[in-house]
Amino acid sequence: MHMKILVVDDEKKIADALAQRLGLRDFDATPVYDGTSALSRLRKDTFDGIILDLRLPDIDGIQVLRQTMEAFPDMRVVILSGHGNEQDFKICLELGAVACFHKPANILKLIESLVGSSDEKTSASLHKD
Amino acid sequence: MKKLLHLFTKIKPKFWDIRVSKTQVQILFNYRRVWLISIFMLTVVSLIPLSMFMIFNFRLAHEAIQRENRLRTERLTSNTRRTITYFLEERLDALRFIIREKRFNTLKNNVELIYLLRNLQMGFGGYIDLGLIDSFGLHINYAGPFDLQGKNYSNQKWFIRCVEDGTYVSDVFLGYRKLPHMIIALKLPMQNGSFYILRTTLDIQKLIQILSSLELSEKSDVFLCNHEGLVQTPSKYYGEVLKRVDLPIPEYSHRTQVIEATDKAGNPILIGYAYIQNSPFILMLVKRSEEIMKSWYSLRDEIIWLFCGSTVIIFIVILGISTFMVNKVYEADQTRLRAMESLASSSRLITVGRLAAGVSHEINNPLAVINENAGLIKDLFTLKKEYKEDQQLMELIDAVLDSVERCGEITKQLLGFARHFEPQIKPLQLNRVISEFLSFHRKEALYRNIDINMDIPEDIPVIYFDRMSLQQIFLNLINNAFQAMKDGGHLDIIVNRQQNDYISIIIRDNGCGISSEDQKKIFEPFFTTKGLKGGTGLGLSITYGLVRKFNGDISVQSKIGEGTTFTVTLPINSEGDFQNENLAR
Repeated sequence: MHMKILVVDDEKKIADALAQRLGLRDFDATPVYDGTSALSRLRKDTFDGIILDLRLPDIDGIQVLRQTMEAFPDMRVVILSGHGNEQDFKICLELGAVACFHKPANILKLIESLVGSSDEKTSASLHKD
Repeated sequence: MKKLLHLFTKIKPKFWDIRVSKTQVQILFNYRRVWLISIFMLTVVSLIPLSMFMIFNFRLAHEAIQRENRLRTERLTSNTRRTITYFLEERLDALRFIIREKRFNTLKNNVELIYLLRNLQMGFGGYIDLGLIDSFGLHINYAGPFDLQGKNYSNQKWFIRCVEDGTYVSDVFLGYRKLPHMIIALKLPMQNGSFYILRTTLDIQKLIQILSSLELSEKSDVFLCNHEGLVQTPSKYYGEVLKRVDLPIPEYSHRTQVIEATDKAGNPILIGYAYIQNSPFILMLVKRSEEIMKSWYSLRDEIIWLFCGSTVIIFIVILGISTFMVNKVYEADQTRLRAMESLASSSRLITVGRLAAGVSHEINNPLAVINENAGLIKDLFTLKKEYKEDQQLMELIDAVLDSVERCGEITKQLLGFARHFEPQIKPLQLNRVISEFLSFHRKEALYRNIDINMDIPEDIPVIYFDRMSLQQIFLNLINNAFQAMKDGGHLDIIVNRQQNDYISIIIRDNGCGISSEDQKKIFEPFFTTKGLKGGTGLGLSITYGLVRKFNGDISVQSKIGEGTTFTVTLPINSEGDFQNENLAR
């Protein structure tokens, strides 16, 4: 079975490349470039996971995360941010994100967090490295 | 010499060695100059009135004493003159009495004259002989030890003068017996127009007695001289009898006078003199100035000592006050400077932190683009067999990805650096954290054979604290301990739980210790005992500042030669006390 992943990043090149790379690894990845379209795509389709940037042109990434977690409490959200500091990451983890990464991040680690093990959700940890 | 140098370093003002240099533009004053000006001004305004007052007083006292001495001399001279005048008048009056009492015929009788002379000698004393001379100058009757009867005096000076004036008092002269004596004579006019003269010779012993009865000091002298300057009665210092006096003859004055002069040896003297009426005598009273001014000299010495003493005391007080004031100004300046410096450095660091954070954030996105795209290329190549085999291509892609990763590390570190300036309260496991901090010193401890003993009980709770601050507090204290200890020293680190949610951390070394004087100052900024060898004097003041910032406390106990114990008390949860300022976002 293919995991359906939504890639949200205001930088089109990053979103596209990431989606393509995930596609090459047997994921069904869809790139979107702002918070609004991300939320609308989530309502139309069912996704297994999201790679979410915190700085988006329209809605704040934390806001997107909050709404997503309200609608889909089981969604696996991985934060990938170039700006996030420890405080933001702490908030994200409290809201229900499974992991947080600084850009640039290693794709293997991203995937690892997205797939996760069955009990990972309960022991969400901050990936500093 | 060494002691003097030591004393100087003790009293030397703190600002003494501060030089105004171009790099220290913040120093507002040239402290030495301010200090010197202050001393100069205070000295001038206090010592000028004092010295003026002293000179004024000096003069006043001098004049008063001088006037007093003149007055005293004048009075004494005047009194003596009266006595001598009276003495001579008395002698003349006796003759006058005889002339009026006895008739000419009686006086011509030699037996009567001898009888009269004896009576005079018994009543008054000092009469040597008595003679009657007629108007032709012939000695017609004589009573006395010499045979002068029949002698003619008509062309002698005294006879002529006596005929003219009616009375005559002679100078002292040496008679036949070579004894100084004098004569007095009185003219008695007769009814028939003729006259005769009664003449007597006086021993001057009586005069000498009068003069010597004056109570004079050792160096003072009193004597008679005549108008020609010949000494008439014995003088102690100013010439022999009938020789010229060694002093200038003072001008005629009908009153008693006091003049200042110098004697032959050049000593300043005070001369009181009086011309004695109806006689050729001048009474001279001579006092040595140095002697009569003796009381003045002692007073003068007292005044001078008083002046010198008060000058020294005033100067010491001025020195003390000036030094104290300028020291205060200097200290105030230093505190201000320090505040400015720390403000400048912290604001500089904050700026750098913000810049670093900004740059990192901006670079992270393009880095991510490179990362994903290079990753995608690698992915694509890996899928296609023809490229997968191409070793060089794969290496190139990996090189790009490695570089991206390295850049990512750098930006992450920069962000971390920026975050150093904002305290982050986190739960800390004390025993773990302290062990980590000690790892900086493990090698040195091993090398110097220093024994580190940690005593952290199990029940010490997790504390909420900023890790960087705690590290700084610790490292400063442990650094100091290491510097104080000799090789083979002993360091204890003991953590205790205190009441009211506080813990205390005790760091005890057995090093050289801190003197009680220095203990008061060790938390002051820039206080260092490491001399010029590199202590900034900031370590403990930073520690103190940090401890206080987190509502903690720090104290020190130390004994020279036995060691030092620092006790740091910290709240278990500093989050509530400390307002988190987010500086570098």
